[in-house]
Amino acid sequence: MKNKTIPLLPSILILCWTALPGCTPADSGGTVSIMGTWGGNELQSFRSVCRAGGVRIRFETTRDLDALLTARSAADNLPHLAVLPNPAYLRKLAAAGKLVPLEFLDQAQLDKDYAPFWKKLGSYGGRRYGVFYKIANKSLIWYNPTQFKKFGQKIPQTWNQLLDVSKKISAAGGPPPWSIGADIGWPLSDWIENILVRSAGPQVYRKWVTHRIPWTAAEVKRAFRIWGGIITNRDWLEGDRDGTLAASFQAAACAPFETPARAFFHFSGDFIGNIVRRRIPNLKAHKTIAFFPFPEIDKRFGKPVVGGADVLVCFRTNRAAIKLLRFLATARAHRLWVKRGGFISHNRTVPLSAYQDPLAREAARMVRQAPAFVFDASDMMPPAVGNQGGFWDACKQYLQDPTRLDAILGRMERMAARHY
Amino acid sequence: MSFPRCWRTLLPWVWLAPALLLVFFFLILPAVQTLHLSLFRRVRITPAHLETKLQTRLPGWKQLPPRAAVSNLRSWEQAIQKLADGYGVRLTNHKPMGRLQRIQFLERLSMRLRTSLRQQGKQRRFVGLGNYLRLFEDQGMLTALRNNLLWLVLFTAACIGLGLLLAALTLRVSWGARARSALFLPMAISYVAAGVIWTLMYQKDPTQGTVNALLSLPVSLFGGEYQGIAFLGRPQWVTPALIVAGVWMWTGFCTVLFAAALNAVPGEIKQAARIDGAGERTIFFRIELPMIKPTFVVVGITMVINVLKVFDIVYTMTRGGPFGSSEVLANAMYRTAFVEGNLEYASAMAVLLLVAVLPVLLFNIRNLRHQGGTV
Repeated sequence: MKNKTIPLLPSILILCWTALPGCTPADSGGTVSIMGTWGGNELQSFRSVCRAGGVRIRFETTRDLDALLTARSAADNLPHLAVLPNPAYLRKLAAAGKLVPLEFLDQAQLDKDYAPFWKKLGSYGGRRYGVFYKIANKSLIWYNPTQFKKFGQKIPQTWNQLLDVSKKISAAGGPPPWSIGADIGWPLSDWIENILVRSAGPQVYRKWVTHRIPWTAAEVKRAFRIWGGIITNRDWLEGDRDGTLAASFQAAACAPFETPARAFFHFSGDFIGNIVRRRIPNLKAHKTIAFFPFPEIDKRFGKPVVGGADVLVCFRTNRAAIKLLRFLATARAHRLWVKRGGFISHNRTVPLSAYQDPLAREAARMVRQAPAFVFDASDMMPPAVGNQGGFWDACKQYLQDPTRLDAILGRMERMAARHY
Repeated sequence: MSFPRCWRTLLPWVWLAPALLLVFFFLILPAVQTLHLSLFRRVRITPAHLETKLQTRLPGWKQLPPRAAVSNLRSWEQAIQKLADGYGVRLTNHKPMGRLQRIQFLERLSMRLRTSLRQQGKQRRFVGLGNYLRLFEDQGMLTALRNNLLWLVLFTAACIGLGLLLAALTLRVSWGARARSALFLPMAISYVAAGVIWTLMYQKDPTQGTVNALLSLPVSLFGGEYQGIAFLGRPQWVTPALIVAGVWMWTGFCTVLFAAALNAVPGEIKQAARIDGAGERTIFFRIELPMIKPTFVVVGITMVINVLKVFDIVYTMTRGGPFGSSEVLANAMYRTAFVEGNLEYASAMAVLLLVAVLPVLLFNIRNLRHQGGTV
C-alpha cells in the first residue's frame, strides 16, 4: 500500500502546479493577448512591430469585435488588450469601468509627441485609456488619372467644380461618374461628415457630434441636401440606387480602376488604396491611381480632414502588455509600420520622408497641414446613434428616398435624445 | 435478492436524473432567468443626464470652477449625495477628483455612480412589462415581426410544396434517387457558405450575378437592355430574395423525407386503387397524401421551428439591411444583446420568440404522444 501512494503524491503536486498558471488571475507571463479586427497584411505588419519591440503576442482576429467583447466581458474573460476601431467604444468601456487607465505611460513624452486632440479623444473622466495607433485620412476622392485625362478637365477644387465635372462625365455617355458601395453604412456617413465640416465648420461639427445641436438643425439638413446634389442624380451612380445599397465598399472602390472602368470617382479613406492595389495589381501611383482632397465648400473653412483611428485599450495588465503599450506609443514603433506601408502616423516626430509610398506620404501630409482635423463623427457618437440602426441607416434611407429627409432626421433626433 | 419496495418508485427517477439535470440547468433555468431579466431595465447614467440633474439642484454650478466643486463646498457635497440618493446608492468613494474640467468631472462622477450601483447590486430596475410594451412600439421590431411572418408563410409553404412535388416526381423516374441526392446537397453546405454563394448570385451586374443573368436572357432576346436588379439593395425585394435562398437550402431535406414516406406507402393499396379505376392524381391526393400525414406534420413542424429562429442567412447576407428592412427577430435579438449589450431588452425578444414557438412545440409533443399511444 505504502509503495503505491508515494508516486501518487508528487504527481498530484505536479498537476496542481501546472494547473496554477491557468487559474491565477494576475498572470505574469510574457505573452500579451490582443483582440481586434486586423487581419491579413495589417496583422502581419503589427506582428513584426511587436517582434521588434520584443513582445510576444497572441492576436485574435474577429469581424464581430463588439459582440465578442460584450460577451467576454460578461464572462470576465477579457484579453489583455484590444484594438478598437473607434473612440466611442473606448468611452463606453471606460464608463463601464472595464478599462485600466494608462498611467504607466510617459505622459510628458506623449504630450510632446502627439497633438492635444488625441489625448482628449482617448480619455474619459480626465484619465487616459487609449493609445492611438494607425490613423486614417477619410477625406480623399480616388480616381484614375489616365481615364480622367480623356475629359480634359481640371481636378475639382470646390464642390461646384466637382458637380460640374460629374455632370460633364455623365453627359459624355460613358460609365457614370461615381461609384459608392453602401452595404455597410460608413462610406455614406463619411460623405455627410466631410460635407458638414466643410459647409458649417469644425465648431458646428463638434457640437453635432456631442449632440449640442439637434439632428434637425439647419446645418445638418443642409449637409444632406448638398450631398443630394450628387446622389439624387440616379444616373451619376454606378449601379443606380439599389446597386449602391447592395455593393460592398471594396467592390465599389475598384470600379474606377478596372478595365473597362465602371466609374470615375470613388470617395474613401487612404486605406482603400491598398485594397484596390491588392485586387488590381500593376496600378501605378499618380499614373493609374491617385486621389485629390475632398473639395472645398465654404472658403472660410477650407479643406479640413476627417479622420479615423484604431486605438489600443487595456483590460488587464501584465509586464508584457505594459511593455507593448509603452513601445507602441513611441515614434520608433510608428516608423516601423510606416516603412511597411498602409499606415499613417499621427506622431509629430515621424518625418514625412519615412513614407515609402508617394500616395501614403501625400495622405499623411494632408493630415499634418489640414486647417482642422476632426474625428469621424459616426465613430464618436454612441454606437446605437452613430452606426448601424442609426446614422448609417439614415444615410441609406436618404439615398433610397431623398424626399423623406425631414422624417429621417426627426427619427435620428429622437434616437439621439435617448442615447446621449 | 430483490429491491425494497420504495426502490421501485425511485429507480425510474434515478435513471432519468442525468437527463433531467441537463434539461434543468441548460434549458429551464436559463429560460426562467431570461424571463426574469426581461422584466428589468438597466439604470442608465450618462454625463448628460447628470448635467441636467445637477443643473436643477444647483442652478449656478456652471460658474463654479470644478476645482472648488470637489473641494469641501458643502452645497456640492449635498447636491451630489442627493443625486446618488436619487439612484438609491451610497457613493462608496469620496476621494477628491483633482483638477478636472467640467465634462471630465461629470464623466468621472457617472463612472463612480455606476460602480456604486454595480457593487450594491442596483444596476437594474424593475419595469414590469415595460420592455414588452417597447417591443411593439419599436419600428425596427415591427419590421422584424413582419419579416418573420413573411418567412413563416412563404418559406414553410415553399419548402413543403416544392419538397412534396419533387418527391412525387422523382419517385416516378429512374434517375430519381440521383436527383434527390443532388437536391439534398445544399444541406451539406454550411449556412455561411450558402449565404456567400447567394450574395454572389444576387449581384446586380448580369455578367456576374447568376440570377440577373437568367433574367437578362428574355430581355436580350427582344433586343432590350437589361440593367439588372440588386435584390439585396431594394427594401421590398430583400426578404423574398433571402427566403428563396433559404428554400434552396431546405427543399432537398423535405424532398428526401417525403420521398421516403411515399416509398413506404404499400404498393398493393395503389394497385387496388388503379384496378378500381383511379388516376395518378387521385392516387396521390386521396391515398398517398393521407397516408403520409404523420411525415407531413413532422416536416411542417421542423420547418416552422426552423423559420422562427432563422438567423444565419440574414446575418451572412444582409445583416438585416438595407436599413433594417430584412431584419428578423433572431438577428435583432443577437444585435441587441451582444452588439448593443442590452441584455434586458434582448431577453424580452427571446421570450417573444419562445412564446411564438411554444404552440408549435406543444402541438409537436401532443402529436408524438398520440403516435406513441397508437404504435
